[in-house]
Amino acid sequence: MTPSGSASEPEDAPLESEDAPGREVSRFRRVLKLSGAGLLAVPWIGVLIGIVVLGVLFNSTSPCHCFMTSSNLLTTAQEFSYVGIAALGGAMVIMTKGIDLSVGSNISLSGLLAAAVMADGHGTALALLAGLGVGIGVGLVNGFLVTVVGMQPFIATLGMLSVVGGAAVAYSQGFTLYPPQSFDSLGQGTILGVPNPVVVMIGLAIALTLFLRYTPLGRHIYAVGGNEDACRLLGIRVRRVKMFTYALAGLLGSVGGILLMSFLGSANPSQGLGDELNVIAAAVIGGVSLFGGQGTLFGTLLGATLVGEISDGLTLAQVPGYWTEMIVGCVILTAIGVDQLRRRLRRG
Amino acid sequence: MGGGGGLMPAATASPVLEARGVSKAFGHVQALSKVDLDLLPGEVLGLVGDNGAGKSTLIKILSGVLQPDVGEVLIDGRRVHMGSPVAAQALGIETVYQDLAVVPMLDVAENLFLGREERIGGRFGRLLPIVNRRSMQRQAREQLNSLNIGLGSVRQKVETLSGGQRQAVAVSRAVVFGRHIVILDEPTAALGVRESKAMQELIQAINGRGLSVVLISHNMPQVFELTTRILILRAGQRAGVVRTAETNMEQVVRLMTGAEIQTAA
Ligand SMILES: Nc1ncnc2c1ncn2[C@@H]1O[C@H](COP(=O)(O)OP(=O)(O)O)[C@@H](O)[C@H]1O
Ligand SMILES: [Mg+2]
Repeated sequence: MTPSGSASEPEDAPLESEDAPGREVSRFRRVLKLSGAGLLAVPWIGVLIGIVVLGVLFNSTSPCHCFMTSSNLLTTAQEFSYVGIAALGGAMVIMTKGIDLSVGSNISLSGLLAAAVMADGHGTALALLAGLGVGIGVGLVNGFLVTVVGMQPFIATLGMLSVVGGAAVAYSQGFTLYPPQSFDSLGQGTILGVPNPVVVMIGLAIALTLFLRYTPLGRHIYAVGGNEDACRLLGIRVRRVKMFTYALAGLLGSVGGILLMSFLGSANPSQGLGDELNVIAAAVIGGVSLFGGQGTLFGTLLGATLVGEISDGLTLAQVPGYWTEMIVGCVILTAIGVDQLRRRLRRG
Repeated sequence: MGGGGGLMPAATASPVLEARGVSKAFGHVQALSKVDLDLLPGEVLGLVGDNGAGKSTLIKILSGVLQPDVGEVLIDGRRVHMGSPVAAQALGIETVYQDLAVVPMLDVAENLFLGREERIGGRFGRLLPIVNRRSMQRQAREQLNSLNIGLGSVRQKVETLSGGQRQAVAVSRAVVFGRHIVILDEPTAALGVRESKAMQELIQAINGRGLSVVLISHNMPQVFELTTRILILRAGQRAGVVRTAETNMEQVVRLMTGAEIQTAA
């Protein structure tokens, strides 16, 4: 009940009948909500089911029936972990109702730069600093364009996707660069049998989940996405919150880029090509709403898992790459459709 | 409760909040011209006027969202400059804006403390800023109880609440933090009959705590039930101010529409 002075207020007959048509609609909506939409309300359960079902399916379609082996699963996890790491940042940007399309180029450029610094004989520390620095830099420029210049996030970061992608090609002159052999151990090593990048991904997901849940800034990320005007009126520094998410997304993109470079033992300017879509897919499939204010990093990792599983499973089944691309595209569109449906139901 | 709610202010009391000769233009639209307002301690002042009369603009100036082109704002007789809503809040003015100022995805307690989260203390708290959920939830529960607002759990998300309950959350935030003055911009505009009634009781409870209230409303019976005095705006100008007990709805409507002109304040 609303503010109620007298709890035992008698039912108001005329009011009741006035409301009747509205009641019907809301009852219909409630039935909808309870039936199909149960899955929509807790998005990750559906994703989890999808992951398991696809796993079984891919196991039977792969000629070797080797999809569900622990070694293949770990390899799959390793292959998508850099997308997963970048998606943690991408998800937080989306939570504020923004988007970061520049991350694909960021992954390429940060890997390249780190590899180049090492190839030039400077130490690993400087290489990491350069790679992560360029990632934060890209993020800060994104944030500046969105919060200070006031550009639409989609347009600003699409522009940056081109700028940074072009910079990567220009910097490498189109060549592939190689870090020293010893650097491979970062991306290829394991801790207790789990590949390092997977450990990093899970560690970051836990730390950032705690950050989102328990710090004022973390709560404000959700709040800004949920009702920006209210936040401004309550004195929350909306620009600063958004700027933070873009910078963090830039940083996490470069963490992913460096790990990918180390894992592959090489860096080329198209290494992260198209990954911005995988990142957004991971977040949206995992229940991070493009309308802002919703979703979890746990869901995002499940989304990344599903995307990684699909591309890996289809490859194992020897499906040509262009099919994989089309199928992932359809999954993204479906996820966005579900996001829209969920919003409509919530409003109802 | 008949005309004039809450504590009747002493006739001689000096205003807690004053606007003097406030004007505001948006481009060519003169939203307010030379408007005076005074809010007496412990009173509920109604602010009425047709759509576009300038009510929202006036309260945005009083709550630091907008700055007047000319004119001044005084609190307790002292001239103040409120460059932002936060500055107004620091001076004890809390405002519930016309569009619901809640975040649907956060829970009730989080909404109450939004932008003013409590942090845990101790060595760990100094190292890392951590929100103190327990304490905020406990206080939220106490405050809502004392205002007689039953919302179920303070941990449920605001998106699960009805329009009236959401509005109650926004209003109670203003009450919890408003030390002095609470401004409500059409708090019942989006509510049903019963929810409006409940909101009315909430406003009376606020006033009962000794806070001064500015209430914008289109609902005339409600204005007459709750307010001590009514300030009427017409086309950006002050068309008059009347004591609720000494007027009737017809006169207020005549002032709103310009059918009657008040000569002296
Ligand atoms: N931000 C704004 N930009 C331009 N015009 C505005 C703005 N806010 C209000 N106005 C105009 O100022 C006038 C007063 O508006 P408002 O204060 O919202 O009236 P009320 O709340 O009494 O309905 C209207 O003509 C409105 O169109
Ligand atoms: Mg208004």
